[in-house]
Amino acid sequence: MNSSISSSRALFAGFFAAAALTFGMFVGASEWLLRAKVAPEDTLFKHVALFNSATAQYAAFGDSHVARGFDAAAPVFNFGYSSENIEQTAWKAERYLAQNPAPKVILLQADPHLFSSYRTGAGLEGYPEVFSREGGAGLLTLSAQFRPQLPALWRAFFLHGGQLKSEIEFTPQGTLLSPGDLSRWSDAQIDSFIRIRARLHVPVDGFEQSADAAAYRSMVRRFLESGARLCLVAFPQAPVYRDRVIDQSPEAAAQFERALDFYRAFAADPRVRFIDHRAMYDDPALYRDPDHLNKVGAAQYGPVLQDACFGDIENPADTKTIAQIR
Amino acid sequence: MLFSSLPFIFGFLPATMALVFLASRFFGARAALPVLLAASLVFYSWNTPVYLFLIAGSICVNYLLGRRILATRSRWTVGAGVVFNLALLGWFKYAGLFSSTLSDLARVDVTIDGVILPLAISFFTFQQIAYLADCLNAKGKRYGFLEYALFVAFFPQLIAGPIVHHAQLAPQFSGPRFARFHADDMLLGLFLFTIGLAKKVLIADGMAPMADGVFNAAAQGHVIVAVEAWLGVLAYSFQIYFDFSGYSDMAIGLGLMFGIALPVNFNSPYKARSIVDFWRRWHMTLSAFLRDYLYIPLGGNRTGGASRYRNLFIVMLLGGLWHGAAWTFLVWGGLHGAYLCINHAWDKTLASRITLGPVAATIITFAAVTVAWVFFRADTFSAAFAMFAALAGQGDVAISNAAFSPLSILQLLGAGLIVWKAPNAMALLEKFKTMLNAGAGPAPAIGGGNGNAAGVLLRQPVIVMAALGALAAMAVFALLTSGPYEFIYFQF
Repeated sequence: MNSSISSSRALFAGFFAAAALTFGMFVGASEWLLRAKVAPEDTLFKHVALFNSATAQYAAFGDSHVARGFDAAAPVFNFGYSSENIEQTAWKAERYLAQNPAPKVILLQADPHLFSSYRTGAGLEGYPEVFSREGGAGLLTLSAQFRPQLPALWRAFFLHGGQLKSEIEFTPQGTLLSPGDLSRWSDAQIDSFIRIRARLHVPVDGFEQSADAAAYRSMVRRFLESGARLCLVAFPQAPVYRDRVIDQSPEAAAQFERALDFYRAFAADPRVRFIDHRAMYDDPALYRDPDHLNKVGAAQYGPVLQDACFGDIENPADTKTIAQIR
Repeated sequence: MLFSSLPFIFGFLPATMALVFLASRFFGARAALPVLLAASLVFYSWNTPVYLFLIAGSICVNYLLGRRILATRSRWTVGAGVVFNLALLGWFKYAGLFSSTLSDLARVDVTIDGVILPLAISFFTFQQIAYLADCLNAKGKRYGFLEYALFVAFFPQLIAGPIVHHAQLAPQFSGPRFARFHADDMLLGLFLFTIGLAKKVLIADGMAPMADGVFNAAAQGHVIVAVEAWLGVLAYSFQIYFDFSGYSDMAIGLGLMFGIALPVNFNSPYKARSIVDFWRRWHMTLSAFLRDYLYIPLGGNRTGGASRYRNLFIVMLLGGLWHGAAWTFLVWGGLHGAYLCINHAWDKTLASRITLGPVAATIITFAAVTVAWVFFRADTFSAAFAMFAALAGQGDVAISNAAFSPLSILQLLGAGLIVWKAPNAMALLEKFKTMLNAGAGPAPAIGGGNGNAAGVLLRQPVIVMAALGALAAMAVFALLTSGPYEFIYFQF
């Protein structure tokens, strides 16, 4: 080959200059997308802002079951968020206690799937970074929160003609009211969904010894030490979930029961109440999918749960049974 | 470690190049050998360090066996070497399959669990068996230990090929270009590596959700609607091609950067007009290996007639099983064996009377290959049969997720255009070499000569390199956002 050293340098320079320029353009365009189109609609942004600013003596913590299913009313704040694992919740609890040193009543999710394989051992997964970057300081494109979502966000941006509109309604108390109606699902859709849930949701063997279980115990202890009363809640699930995920096999059902026993054990302390609401509603029209309430279901369930947990928890002797609530 | 990962691109590769360069610069090219060998072993054992002992042991034993065979010409030693290598492969790759099959058949639990498949064992086992066989028949040569070890472990080709013959690779380690980092080698290497990276990250990984969605649904027992099944199978056809050929391009490009020419492994296989033609274009180094070390020793086509078909079929069956420890791979190989037999029988009997046009021949070949991929991709026979039922139009389950958005269809169309209308990476490389050579003379004037301005511009090497730089940035950005996907052929 005849290329001289000087022309080779020009070729390498062309390569790397174009690479840097293109990369910069992609970062710039993505930053614009995130700030101009995504952030105004993004529920995590709103959630972080609310969480970091709210003064709340009554609060609920957990994953999407809490976030979507409990339409909280003032003075209760819903600090649940989708896909949150126990370690993340415990981390948030510590942060909450630093901001709100005298909580009165705290709702903690007590669902068995929090100990399933896809949730346990995941760690904090960027939570400290997400919650400390209030107001979107720094490059959002490179953040752990948005970086993995960028391909899907760009795809959605193009598929929706340059508009990104969230279908989820974020309430002033922090609930993520969600659309969807399980009663409209086809059998095939339900079947496909349930097969995945059946595989993913069973609590793992020995979950009691996991880091997540330790984090849960620690979280309960910290809240009690701070003077709070606790309400541990297993959230409503559609009959199809109960029949085909929980009761898919005797072994699976036993694992789910062991997880509930784990939560129940905390209720030996009079300051802690455990409520099993899994069989609360059978009507599929109240669910967005087999294990999440939709906005109709959340609106219906909100006052019930608020009353059960926050209404009379100051007087444990007055505890209602599920049958009474229903 | 994956070529298409940020730690490799921005960490391992530049660090290795720097160390090899320094060793070569200050102590001579031979000093680069141990540095490159050490780097290759680090590359190999990055995720599972314990397998360092496996590959190191395999290299040492085969090297000593090779020396002994060269000294004694002993068939027994060759036999012992082959048994040693096949025993390693058999234990690590096939023990689980055979024991579970035996358990099923005999209804006695003799299942062997917990054996993790070491990376690249199929590749380095084949390479070393070939070396031992060649030592017996005088094609073998005595190499220094470092040359031999690096022939096996040279990281660009270690994990998923190309399957390099010792005579192609080992002598290059004492050649004039090794570890010299000539500007031309670096340019051409960067050129190919970037094309391979783009094929893998921008095309193959983009196909994965479509293919996975369909095959996962089949694995769950769903018989999905025909349109989605066909789109999913088509997506998988493109995915595996761009994934594996992208890997090969990257491997060859990396080799070039170190002054090593690795053999071409793909030549637009989906443009093939027959199955025979397909196997001359797909995973060419594996085809050559199977031909030289299995088909010909079995008798090849020397006796003609039925024995030729039998040999072809056996070779393809074993070739199928080489790909993976599952009976579905055996069926995939058997299907291709049957295709090849039909192809040869056709050539012998009907080809003179019935002529297929090139387009029809290409479509039939591609369809046959694509249908066979179902066995290759499906985890179980029941999943494969669910896919076939879906392809035959018996399904009523719609996946109906984002996997089949209009953008996905555009992706498929774009991939198809590249497959059938664009020149392949090697052809592009040759064009680029021509450009570089022409670049030594006066540059053609824009707007003059025999082309339009854009055409002339595109013949400027600096524009080509800038375009590649942009492509590389897109791939890196995609890696940054999506993370790396493992190469399909890593499981072999």
